[in-house]
Amino acid sequence: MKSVYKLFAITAILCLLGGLLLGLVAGTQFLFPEVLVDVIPFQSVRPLHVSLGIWWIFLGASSAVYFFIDALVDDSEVPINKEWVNSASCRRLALAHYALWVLSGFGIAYCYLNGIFGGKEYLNYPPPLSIPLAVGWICFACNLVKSVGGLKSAWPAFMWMWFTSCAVFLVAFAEAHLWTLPWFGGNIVRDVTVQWKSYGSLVAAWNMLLYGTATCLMYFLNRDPKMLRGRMVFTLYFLGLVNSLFNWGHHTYTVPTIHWVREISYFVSMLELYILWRIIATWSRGWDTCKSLRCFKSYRFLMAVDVWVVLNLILAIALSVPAINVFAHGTHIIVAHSMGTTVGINSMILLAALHYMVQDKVPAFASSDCRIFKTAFYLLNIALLVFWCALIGAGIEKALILSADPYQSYRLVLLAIRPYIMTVVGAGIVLLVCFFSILIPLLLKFIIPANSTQTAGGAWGEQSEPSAVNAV
Amino acid sequence: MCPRITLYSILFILFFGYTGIIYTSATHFENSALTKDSSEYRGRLVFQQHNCVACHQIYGLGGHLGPDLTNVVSNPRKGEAYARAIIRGGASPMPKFNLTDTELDDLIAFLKQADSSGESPPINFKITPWGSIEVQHGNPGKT
Ligand code: HEC
Repeated sequence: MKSVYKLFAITAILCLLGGLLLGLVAGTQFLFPEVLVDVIPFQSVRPLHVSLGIWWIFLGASSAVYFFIDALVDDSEVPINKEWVNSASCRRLALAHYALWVLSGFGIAYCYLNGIFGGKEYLNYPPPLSIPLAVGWICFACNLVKSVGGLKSAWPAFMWMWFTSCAVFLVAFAEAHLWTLPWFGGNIVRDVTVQWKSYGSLVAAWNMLLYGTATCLMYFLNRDPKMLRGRMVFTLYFLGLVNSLFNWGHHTYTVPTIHWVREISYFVSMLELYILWRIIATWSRGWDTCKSLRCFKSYRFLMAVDVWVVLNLILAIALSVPAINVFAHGTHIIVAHSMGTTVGINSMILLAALHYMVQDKVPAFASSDCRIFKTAFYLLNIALLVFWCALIGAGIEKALILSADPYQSYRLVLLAIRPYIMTVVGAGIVLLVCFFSILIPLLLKFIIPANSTQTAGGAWGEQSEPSAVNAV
Repeated sequence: MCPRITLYSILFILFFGYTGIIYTSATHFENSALTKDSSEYRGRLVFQQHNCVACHQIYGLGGHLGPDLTNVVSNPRKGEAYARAIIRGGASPMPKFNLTDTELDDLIAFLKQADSSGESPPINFKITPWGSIEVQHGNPGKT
């Protein structure tokens, strides 16, 4: 697996760059519908933008998982099947995983660009393309189980998180295709309910993959054994699992299901608060004990995650209350929620992991003490905050208009939210520039062999093994 | 049995039970459109094949460039004829779709099914004292 993780990382970064560019196109088309409409219409831009964002998350997380498994081979605390991890079969399985995902990715992109749809929201491509995606997941899950030396050994919490994420994903992914059966597809209420039940689990599954990655990264940063099998990480795992199995209902509050489904969802959604609160509590205590790590890029990104968790937590609390949700639903407040979590939390965790992964080979790159990096990092977070607030503003404006008159002309609604969307696009441009200035150097570090990019001096001199962080 | 295994077993039993209920009886809305040859079923495929959800919503779920379509056919200011006209002719930023007559009829049947299942946004919802809502089931009097 030595270099397979690089393939995943490079492809993930390219997906994010593409996704960001298409996000800008989508935002511009929202304001000026004629822009590029003959080249790529909005109904193709939106799913492609979303898919590239999701692929960034999955490919990036897979890259981190493969990297960390490899890095754990000589760690006596974690049971790793060294023989398997160093074998050609393991590498082949990881390559099959990569090939299947890239293959279906190209297929899906081709369909979107040519106006070939057929699936439901977020999985808008013709359903057969889901098969290679699912088989890729199975390869990933098998590789994980084999790498940890079977089910009998004492897995650390992050391994459970990764493995559970694969399992939940596969079940939920299958569920997301139930609409192809008339029992589900023929009844609109059942169909929408099951669709969003599965999407809730899919999102929870990728969150679990990322929280596992974050926990593992924390272990690498501070070598605290509590990150492996501590009570707290297992409590988080359990709550994450409950979340992935039951916490989907807030998506369907307004769908006319029988009443108690809504009440159960309301109750379970509230559990989410506890999960997030624990994350903050544990992590911030962790921060105090490892202030010396602040000079690392990875650490900075994890600090940003803390802030974004808090902000999104407040929004999530509000959206979990049905009486509030019903106004916010169908407005850009939901977009703010998804952008805040995918960019502010998920992407920051991945950036932390990816920066850690290259610093192992290029220690000088680890230091956050670089003016371009610092500027890009802070500006990125400020722009994201403006972006997020403007989306909430657009949502509130639309909610106010439609609750005063539900039959209001949609043109007037679009006109009223225009200033907010302009702010969103403006902040989006700054986000794009910042992301590019962080991602391009990172991408180059993955592409160019380590010794040719290693700079002399810098925060960690020419030290390359063991990793810079371990040396602290 | 080890308490941890018991706990996880209970969790999975609850999950499968709840899933079973969601699949079979989570809605009062029943209709006759459960076959693949029904107009409503074909209509939802047309809706998906043209990715209408990139811009539109059903029950507030979907894109934000266009209006929610759950009740468009019974909207006093819009209605079926308006919906037919706009789908045929487009209205920037909505593109013009070259649909056959059958496809358009199926699409309208699908939108009627959506309309008869409930309201979105639920104008008549009631807020309960604990912050939940009561959503109206079905739209009596509508198609
Ligand atoms: C690129 C975005 C976009 C796509 C794709 C799109 N629409 Fe629209 N649609 C709109 C916008 C914007 C309006 C509002 C136009 C107006 O009020 O002038 C609209 C209006 C409508 C209306 C009238 C509803 C109302 O309340 O005014 C119907 C019905 C409709 N669309 C159906 C569809 C169907 C069916 C499809 C797919 C075959 C579709 N649309 C695809 C953007 C889109």
